[in-house]
Amino acid sequence: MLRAPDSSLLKILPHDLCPEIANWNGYAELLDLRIAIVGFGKMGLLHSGILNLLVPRAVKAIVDKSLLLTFGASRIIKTMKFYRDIDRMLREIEPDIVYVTTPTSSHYFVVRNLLNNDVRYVFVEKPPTLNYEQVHHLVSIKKTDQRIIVGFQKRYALTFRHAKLLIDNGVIGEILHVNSHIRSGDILGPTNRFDTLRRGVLLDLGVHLVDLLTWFFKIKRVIKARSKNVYTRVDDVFRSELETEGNVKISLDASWSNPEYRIPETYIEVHGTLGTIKVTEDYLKVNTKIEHSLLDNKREVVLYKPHYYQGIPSVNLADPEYTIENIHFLESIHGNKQPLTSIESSAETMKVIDLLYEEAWRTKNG
Amino acid sequence: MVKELLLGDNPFIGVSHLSQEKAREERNEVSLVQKKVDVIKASMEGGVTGFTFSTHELNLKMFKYISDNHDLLDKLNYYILVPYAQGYVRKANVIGTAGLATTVLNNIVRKRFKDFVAGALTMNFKRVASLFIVNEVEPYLKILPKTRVKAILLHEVLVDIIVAYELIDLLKEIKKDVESKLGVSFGLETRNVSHLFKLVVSSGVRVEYVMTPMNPLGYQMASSKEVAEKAIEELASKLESKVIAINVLASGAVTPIEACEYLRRFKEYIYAVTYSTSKPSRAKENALLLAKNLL
Repeated sequence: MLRAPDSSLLKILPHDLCPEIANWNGYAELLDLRIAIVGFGKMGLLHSGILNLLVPRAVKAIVDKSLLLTFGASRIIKTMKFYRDIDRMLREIEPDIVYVTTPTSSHYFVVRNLLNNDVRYVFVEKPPTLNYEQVHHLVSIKKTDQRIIVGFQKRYALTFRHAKLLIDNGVIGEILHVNSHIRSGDILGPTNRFDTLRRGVLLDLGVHLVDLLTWFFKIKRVIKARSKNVYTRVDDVFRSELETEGNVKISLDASWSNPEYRIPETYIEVHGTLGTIKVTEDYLKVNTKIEHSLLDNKREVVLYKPHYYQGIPSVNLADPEYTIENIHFLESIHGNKQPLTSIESSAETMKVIDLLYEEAWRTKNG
Repeated sequence: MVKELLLGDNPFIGVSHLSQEKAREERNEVSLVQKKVDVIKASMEGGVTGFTFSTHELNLKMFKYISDNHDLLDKLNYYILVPYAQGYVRKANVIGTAGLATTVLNNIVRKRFKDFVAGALTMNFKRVASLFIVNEVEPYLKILPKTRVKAILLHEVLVDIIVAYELIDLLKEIKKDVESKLGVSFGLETRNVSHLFKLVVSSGVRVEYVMTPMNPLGYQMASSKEVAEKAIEELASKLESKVIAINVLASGAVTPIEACEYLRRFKEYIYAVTYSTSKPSRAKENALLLAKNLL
């Protein structure tokens, strides 16, 4: 049995970690939105489902290249229109917000098209583009009143937000070193699906971990990087070492071919002069030598998902961070603010991804 | 009134809503099929009368093993959750969503050619979707005693999408097929019970079973703990749905005693209570405690 957290510790949860939830109920019903989804794969289905549950019938249109998907879905789903052509959808629907949930290789081209067509609010799934150069270009052509959020949903998971709060407040003292991994069992057989992308697990899955690490710490350089292919022609396993501006070393390990992981898990272990933080999407475990007010004057705290998500968020589809991410985006539109994971803030993440691939290439090719 | 205690299959297939770390530990504990049988038997000693499970291939293997080695299958009631969604998510990761749709359609064509042609000729894609559900559950119906299969429940991944898109006709089509073609009661599993309640009321579709999380923390209870509780009460009292409470221990964050205290408040609205564990001793202890407090 788990130890339930002390009630006074719960006072900082969830409002301090998740202001989105506190603000949301006040005006959710007032939103009159026209949302379109481009790409009706699993992420398109997920985001449109969450959005419709948050604001009934907010999603007005779906665009997908597949005739099978659009024709079949249009026979079943009557509350929205289906298109195979983005430009036609833009003309007929005039959406306020467009979600881009297509395969990664098309993100840059679709988002560029949307920006050129004066779509004001764009959500693009992670990774925002194939590389830093494409992100940089999108930022450069974006008009000042246009907003792009990137689907780095781990920053909306309350465990990771809590870990960042504790690190920033010195609860474990000065950071000494960091171990991290992201693992899944998604690719356990041969596939050529990533051949054209020419980038594998680091871009597709590892980008979440890189994004969290760049959010937690300032990454200065890549010390070493190595990749290995197992089932694909791209990186199925990626191992590297990074260094922060404070000369802290971070080990990073990404794999999508680990059969032990039914669903992806992101793990960060931070060692400081006063203690240790271990954090995943599922839990936060803190040990420290001094009592700290953020730990309710305790030295050891263990919190799991049920402690964080007590009756929240208001929609429970897949992991809670997806709903919080969508609420955050809608609120940033409502309040005319930059979202936490704006494309501008994601540029740093993509810069590190490029550096890691370059170093792995150098290692492989001497 | 609570009529049944059910054992859930989460640890048997490596699922934990607490953490993946726990899921891996539990899966290792029951890696041998006989270990799962030990858990089931211990739970029955404590008062469990039913087993609820997803259409995961490990469960099919377990049922085959039980059928060959134990006199157990006809002593339990079964509540089947369909489909096992994570399996399809994984397939989509490898072959893409369009590829997955093609694979699913090919399976339907192979196994139910006539029904598929009928659905395709009339452009009835709801019919095709319903055939998918029937296909998924069929191998289990072949092995389990027919009279013991109490309900087939749609998994939350489908239910919550049905609710989000207001797919009332699809819901009716699947319900019709489950009830008439398979001859089994129909149910829905959801983590968004208040949203589901609104859809059920507005559509007039009667759902015999509703499976949803109920725990003192409100974990996985949407749109909020209080609103979800109200929806559960009304589903049971006004719409006469049989409510099956799941995740009553908030994935292990509350004690069984705390769970019992909480659930006692809703006794008149709950038809069955589910819990899961990978340990035979805990399977019996928890069943005894739940039986004493709730049955």
